[in-house]
Amino acid sequence: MWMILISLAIGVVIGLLKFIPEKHMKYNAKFQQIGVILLLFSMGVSIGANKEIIYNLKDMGIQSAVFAVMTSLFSIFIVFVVSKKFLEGNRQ
Amino acid sequence: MTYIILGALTCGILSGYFFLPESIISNIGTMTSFALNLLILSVGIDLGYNKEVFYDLRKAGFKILLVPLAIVLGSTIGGIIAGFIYKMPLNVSLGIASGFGWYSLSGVLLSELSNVKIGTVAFLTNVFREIIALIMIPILAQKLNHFTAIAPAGATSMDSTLPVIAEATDQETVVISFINGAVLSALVPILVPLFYSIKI
Repeated sequence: MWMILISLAIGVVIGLLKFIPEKHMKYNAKFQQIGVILLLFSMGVSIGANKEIIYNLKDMGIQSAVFAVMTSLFSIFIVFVVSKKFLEGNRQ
Repeated sequence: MTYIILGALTCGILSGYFFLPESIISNIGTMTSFALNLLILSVGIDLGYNKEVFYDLRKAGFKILLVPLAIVLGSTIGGIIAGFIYKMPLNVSLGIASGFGWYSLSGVLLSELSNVKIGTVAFLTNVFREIIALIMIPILAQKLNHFTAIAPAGATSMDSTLPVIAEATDQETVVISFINGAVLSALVPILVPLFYSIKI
């Protein structure tokens, strides 16, 4: 876990100090895309090689849907309450 | 990008299922943890580079941070309840919930930190969350208020769902939506590992 947080912190510092000139930032975006693609491919390989996941995909899908509905629903509810109480009034 | 993401995952699943021998698959782990750290580094560079968000924030007022804060709180509560239904350990359900819709990153993060099964649930959860957001944004903007329309979008409110939010709300909300997405995107690579490391 610490490696992830340290990598993130180093990245933020590099970004803040603008070590990379603006015109080269597009390579950072490309690099990120390639990284995500490779990692998702390897995640896919692990999924494909894991028969347990293939057989349980339906259950996992339902479970994920419950997670998605719950997190969305409570986010909506709390943002609505907070915005009614603290944010909406001083906009008009 | 969505098609490329799904394509990469599908190709991986097919080659894992049909072609690749066990020996290669077991070696892939060390490579991915290195690749993941490089990816997070690159995400960090992006976040650090986005200093303009701070100026936007000063203009919009720091009160606006209540929106991402409320989304973190809501997602956490929702995640705890969903985890309770499926009798999952708290650290796992909090890890899944704090993807805030960024499915590619939360999927690979939790595959690495935990196992590929949890990573898959995180990936699917956050794909579904983005779909829910796309459907709900116009309805919420009309029936409740503009702030609430940002809520289901989570971290995606700065990129993939931003056009829908722009269409359903106004210019001021677009700025808030962007700030919200930037804050939550920064929190995903921090909160997922932190929540996952909680031991009870």
